[in-house]
Amino acid sequence: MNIKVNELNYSYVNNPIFDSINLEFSKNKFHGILGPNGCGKTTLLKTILKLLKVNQDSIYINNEDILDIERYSLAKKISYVEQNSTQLPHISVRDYINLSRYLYNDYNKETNETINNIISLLKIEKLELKFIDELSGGELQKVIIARALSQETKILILDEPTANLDPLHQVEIMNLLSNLVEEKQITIITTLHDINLALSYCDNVVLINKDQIIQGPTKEVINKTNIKNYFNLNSHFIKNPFTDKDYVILNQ
Amino acid sequence: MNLNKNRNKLIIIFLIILGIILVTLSITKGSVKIPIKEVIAILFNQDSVSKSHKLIILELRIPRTISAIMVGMSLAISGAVFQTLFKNPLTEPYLLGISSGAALGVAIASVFGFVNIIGGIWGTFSFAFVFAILTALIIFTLAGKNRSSLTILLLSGLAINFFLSALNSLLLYFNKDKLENIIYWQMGSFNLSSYEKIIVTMPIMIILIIVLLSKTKELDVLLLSDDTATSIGLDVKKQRIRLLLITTLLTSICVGLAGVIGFIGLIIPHIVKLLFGVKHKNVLPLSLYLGAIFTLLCDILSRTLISNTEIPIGIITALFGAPFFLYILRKTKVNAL
Repeated sequence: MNIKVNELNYSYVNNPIFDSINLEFSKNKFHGILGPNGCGKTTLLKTILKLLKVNQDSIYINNEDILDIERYSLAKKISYVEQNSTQLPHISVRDYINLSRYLYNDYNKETNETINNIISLLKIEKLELKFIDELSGGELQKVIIARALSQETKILILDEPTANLDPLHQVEIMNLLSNLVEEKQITIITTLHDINLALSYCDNVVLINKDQIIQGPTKEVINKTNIKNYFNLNSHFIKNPFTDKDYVILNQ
Repeated sequence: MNLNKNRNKLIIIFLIILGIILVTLSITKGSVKIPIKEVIAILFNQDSVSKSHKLIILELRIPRTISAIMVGMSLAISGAVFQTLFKNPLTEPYLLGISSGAALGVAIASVFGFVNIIGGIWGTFSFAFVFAILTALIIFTLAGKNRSSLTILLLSGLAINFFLSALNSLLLYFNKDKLENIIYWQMGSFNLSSYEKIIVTMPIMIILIIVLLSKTKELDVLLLSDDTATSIGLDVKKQRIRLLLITTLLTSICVGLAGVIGFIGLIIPHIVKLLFGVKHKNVLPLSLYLGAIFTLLCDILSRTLISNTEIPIGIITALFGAPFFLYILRKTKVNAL
């Protein structure tokens, strides 16, 4: 499933955030969205998720205008992992994952194959009976991703999934997402703050800042000029000895 | 897990026995004590019974018991739904002023004689509902996007309650002859229960409760943030308005039947969630049952604590409820405020 953003305009309280932007998220790829705070990364995700109102002909999913897609039908196409989910009910991990089966017939069924498979795919069997408000940051993020996956969509949208995580868990989550793109053939769109995580994991990136936006393969888009333009930082590129990919050192 | 299931079975058996005892007490106890043998004789229509006792049981205590059960169920389930709707453990129709809104509607209708225009019971219930809906709308607008902020919601409820009680006092001040009537609505009582009221209200209450019971899945999803719930496929706005309308209607019927009875919607869902978790498949039916038996207990206390005097039931539930409110407030994480 691919997503096309076509001449998208969006304003918040009369402040234009997007002015006729065009983007395309091709299927089965890992897409990163980067930019300084307040540039509209989350807003972009929310317009694609139809959580914010957009004009007709602004966003297409597989050539279908999202305004013509019913909510329940959209929920079978795109799932969402919010940033810093603080609103956590006191329920078990399994019950929490089950909430994403809302539209399916197996909601609340004790033996749910979909949920079993996702729990073993993410290796979170040990957490199954714990309560979600008792989990550590890294565990919780995995469980939230498991919940989104149990919606069985071909597109997964995440808003800063590595925020507030220690380096080990950041790498763990990014590896997990990267494997999902390959093994489950899904499209992932995620906002990120860490340019190096984008360099290591994303196939394509979008850079946003104020009135400028650029999209393309990670290696091409993340370069010295763009880092200066979009983040106002100087940069020096070296090879990451572990992945043989680019690694960037930043300086003001 | 097995241990939990056994524990739950024991609790449920205990609750069923408690329910039977309370229904029996509700019919036998009161200013006139009627032994259970005689009650059975009355129920089976035997000739040997005293006429006055028969009247008390059939015309007063049975309708009273049925009303208490219906009101208790409705208030408890409404409280459970409210807590999920507002994502807030300290809400219920009474604390947000919705019951007081309904009571003001009833008071205005009875003082200005509007009841007679629409016609008796229906007039009372229509006024209760219209005023309850208005109050709910005000609360919803005041709390705005901060519905889950405890402080804003509770302070809005407090302000609304102050405002409504000022209006109620104004009505009292100028209509001292109807004092008793208005006080009755404000403090709650099952004293005026009748078959006539039950026949009018019970079918509506049962339908509304069944509709709520069919919404357990939607309510579960509403436990999540609005954006996540929407992304899962729930039309959050539509469901929230529907559920708010249903619970407000249920609450106003309760006020029309028995006046303002607070805290049942707060205490009961909390105890249920503590014992059986937050999933609505359990919370709603168990709240119905516990709400019914708790209300029965409070009603029995209201007419037996002081002999020959009936204390308004709203006072009894507040005596239980206010300390319970403080207990939950202390337990609620400070950052939630």
